[in-house]
Amino acid sequence: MNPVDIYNQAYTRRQFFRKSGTGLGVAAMASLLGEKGFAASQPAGGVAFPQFAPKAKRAIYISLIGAPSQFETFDYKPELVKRYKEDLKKYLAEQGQRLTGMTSGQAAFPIAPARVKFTQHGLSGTWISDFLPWHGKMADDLCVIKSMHTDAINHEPANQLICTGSMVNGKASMGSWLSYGLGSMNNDLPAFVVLHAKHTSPYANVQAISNRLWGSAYLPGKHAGVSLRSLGDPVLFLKDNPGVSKEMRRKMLDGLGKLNMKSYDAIGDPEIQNRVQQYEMAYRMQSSVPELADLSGEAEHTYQLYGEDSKTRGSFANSALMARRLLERGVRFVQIFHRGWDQHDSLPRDIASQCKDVDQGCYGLIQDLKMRGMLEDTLVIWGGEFGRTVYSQGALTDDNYGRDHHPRCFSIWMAGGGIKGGQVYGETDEMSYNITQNPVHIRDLHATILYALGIQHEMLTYKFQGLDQRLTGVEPAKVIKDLFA
Amino acid sequence: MDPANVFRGWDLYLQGGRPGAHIIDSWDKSANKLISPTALTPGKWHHVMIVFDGTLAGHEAMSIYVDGKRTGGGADPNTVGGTLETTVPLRLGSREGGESKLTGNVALQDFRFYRKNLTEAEISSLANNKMIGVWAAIPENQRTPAQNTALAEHYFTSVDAPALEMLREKDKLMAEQAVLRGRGSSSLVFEEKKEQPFAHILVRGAYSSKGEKVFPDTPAMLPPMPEGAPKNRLGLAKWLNDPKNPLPARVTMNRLWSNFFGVGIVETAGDFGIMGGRPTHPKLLDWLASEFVSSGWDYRHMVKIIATSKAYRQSGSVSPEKLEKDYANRLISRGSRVRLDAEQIRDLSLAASGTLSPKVGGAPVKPYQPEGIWEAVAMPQSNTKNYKRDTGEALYRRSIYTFWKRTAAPPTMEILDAPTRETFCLQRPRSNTPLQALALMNDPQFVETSRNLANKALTEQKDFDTRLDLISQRLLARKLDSAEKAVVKETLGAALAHYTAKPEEARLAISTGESKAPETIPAPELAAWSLIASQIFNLDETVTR
Repeated sequence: MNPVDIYNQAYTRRQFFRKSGTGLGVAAMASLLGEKGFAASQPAGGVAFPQFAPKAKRAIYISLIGAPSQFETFDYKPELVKRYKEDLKKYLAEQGQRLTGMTSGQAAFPIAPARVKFTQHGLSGTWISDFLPWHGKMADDLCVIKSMHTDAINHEPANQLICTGSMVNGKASMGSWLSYGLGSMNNDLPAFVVLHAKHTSPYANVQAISNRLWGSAYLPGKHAGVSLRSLGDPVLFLKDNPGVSKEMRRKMLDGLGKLNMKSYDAIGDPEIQNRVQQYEMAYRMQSSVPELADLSGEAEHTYQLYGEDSKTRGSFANSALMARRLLERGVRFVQIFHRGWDQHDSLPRDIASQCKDVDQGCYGLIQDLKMRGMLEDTLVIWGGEFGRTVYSQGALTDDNYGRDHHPRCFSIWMAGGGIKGGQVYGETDEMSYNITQNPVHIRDLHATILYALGIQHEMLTYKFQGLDQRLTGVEPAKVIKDLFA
Repeated sequence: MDPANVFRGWDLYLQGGRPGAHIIDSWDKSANKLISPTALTPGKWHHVMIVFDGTLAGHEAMSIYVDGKRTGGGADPNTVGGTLETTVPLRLGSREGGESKLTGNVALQDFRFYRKNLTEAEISSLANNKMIGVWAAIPENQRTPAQNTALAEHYFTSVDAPALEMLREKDKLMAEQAVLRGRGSSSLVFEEKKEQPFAHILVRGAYSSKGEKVFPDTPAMLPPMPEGAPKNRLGLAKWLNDPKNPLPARVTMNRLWSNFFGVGIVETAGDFGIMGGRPTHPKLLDWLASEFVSSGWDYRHMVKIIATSKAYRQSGSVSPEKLEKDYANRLISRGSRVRLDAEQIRDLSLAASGTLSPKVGGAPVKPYQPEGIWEAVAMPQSNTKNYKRDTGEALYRRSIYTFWKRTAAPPTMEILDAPTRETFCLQRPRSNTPLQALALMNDPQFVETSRNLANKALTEQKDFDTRLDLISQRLLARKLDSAEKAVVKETLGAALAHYTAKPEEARLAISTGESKAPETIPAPELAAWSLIASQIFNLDETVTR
């Protein structure tokens, strides 16, 4: 562990021994779980966060792995129909963009107009594709950013860049930075929870992901995202061995606690008390987590809001509902991963199915948060890792085409947490190839998310490998204040 | 070949006058077929030879020679099967069952079968055998060198008795080698490049912007490579071993120290630079380093010195004064207390309960793992998408043999702070979390070992004290004192009463894991003692050293 961190931890501990009298307040500090009331005071790298009044206390990041096409979702390019099949070979050569190995050898690069209708929605008149009808209903809640851009052209580096701020493996994830900087707001659950939502299409082109995207890297392990599973126990090994009743577990833990405290009396190592606390926390989680995962108490109208899918464990809508329950219970950051957005071919068929997977769930989540008065201080972010090409990958026919990876522009949306809804930020050229207005790099997005949560991104640092590591890295990043109301 | 059993076996046949062959495990899923592109000339004798090498890739495994010359022809299908052994006899002129693929009138002469793969030269010499007599008749000084070589080869492979004996011996050894190779698995090894290796500086770390070309050398702030040392691993080894180089011995000893004390003399074991921590005991580190070098880099010697030192043998007791003056024990005012690493905890539970398999080496194993760990993150095409747990001994091997999928590591290991193995890990964190508590209580591996340990105590000892002593001796290497025993007795009493009243719960409690609980011990008794074994296993003292 970093010496500065040890110092901070030790310092805090000593303070606590003096102040709390019992000495037990220490336990939770060094644990995976934080302690109520520490939210605003836990020092990270010597700075107390939030540094200023935050717009959001918590956040949900909906990660669409594989990269949804901007053409079939939010970036409406009606003029492209007139240029159907126009070959962009010469144009691409002039642009000098590095292409992936999947299309760099193509003889022609024919323009593929989106094969979906767009409709204007809400008072804002935001154009949204008919693949996302429920998004249309909440257009005025959304801030669509059409001018996102990234440095990577392949999934793994692009996902790492958007989740950890670096294309290179080994950096701390966004959620772990928030946990490190802001601490936890609850006693019974981790500060950063990860959900894996299932995609339904059997044709979906699925990319592998791993805990690189939600790990803590050099930050202490307690800040890593904890996956809440949709298969088996929601938290690993939560359920007691069959035949060990709650009563027996309690007896076993009582004895265990007494024996451990005898060791503590003899040796005096605070880590023993810490372990006693962790076992008690585990015992509490055995009640609190099943309660969390048990959705049977949800009202029927809530299910209707999220859609019929929300009753199916592990579906996107179900995960969205679960995310709301997590936030209600004081979880700081929830990241939902939904895979299968990599449409190199058969794009019209597959993106329709992917959109259907998430459409109503997103709507339900935003409305549910709004009705519970939580949307105003909950930041919601929706997006993939890069955009897709205007030209078709593989054969372009009247009813079928695919799109390759495109790093220069893509669309995401944000909502809640002080974000001004009903706006579209940034603009792209007529082929959604280059950004023409207000570019937003992933670093800028990170800086903006941290800002919303009351953190100045240059100040949230951790010493590692001789560098003050930051989510936003060493290159300049800007907070996009225009996004906020 | 056995047409009745998926055509397993092999044949040599004619297809439209062209010679061809099958080597079949299971037609047509796992089979190799090759046909020469040109037909044989009717009315003329030809020498046809098929060579099959199952260690090569499918499309390269088989080759066909006509008159000593290799012919082309793609193999289709071209997989190498697992076996081609059949129980049917080899037939000349047809497959088993009488079906002949030798279309038309075909004569066979001098059919040979070699248990080794002949080289191209050997085949050519066989095919050209008819020329041997002619060449032999030429006076030696008028023969071409190729003729001489062919004659010598013929002599040693067909005439000379001692040479033939040696060839037979060699074939036997080659066969033995093949068997030995089949038993192990191959591994990648490093080899130095022939030319000077280099890398480009990537400007601002971007892989696409290549800067200056750089060649192997040590960083400027470190001592230079020794005079004349090659710029490769040999040179690096010499540089590391150079007694004038101050760093390697210090870094190694600091790491050894941290293995014993939980933290190094320099806290940042991976960073001795200006951003690293300062040594708490610089003279001690100097002494350890110089002792290490002067002992001839004798690691065992250094382990012994540290393990028998007064510093290491101190009690771990913490007084309020020590806590105040030396909170993190950086001054080594007491013995260090360090939680065991993930692998050590699992191995301890297996060993203490007598469950551990002593087997050394071999392929990785897949012990208990909760469902869905791999499936949640894998690509559909992945060959590690579905976790199929092993059975039997494989469940109880040491943790170093556990199969490790880096993008979805074994969860209990990960929960106990094992690194993911994706990037270098210089220091493992040691956290203390409720997830660890849950894993140690409920991972089926530990539930099973606790039951096995309870079984051992009940079988080998007769009363409460000696049974508990057995359990605590094996997990803590000590007997519990009477106050501690009283606490355990309380838990045991409650558990015995509970399980006696609810025998079906007791049976459930002892049914976890692949191994079965013995029927000789009443279920309530075994269940209650299993809970006790689990209680002792979960003690802070058990998982801490």
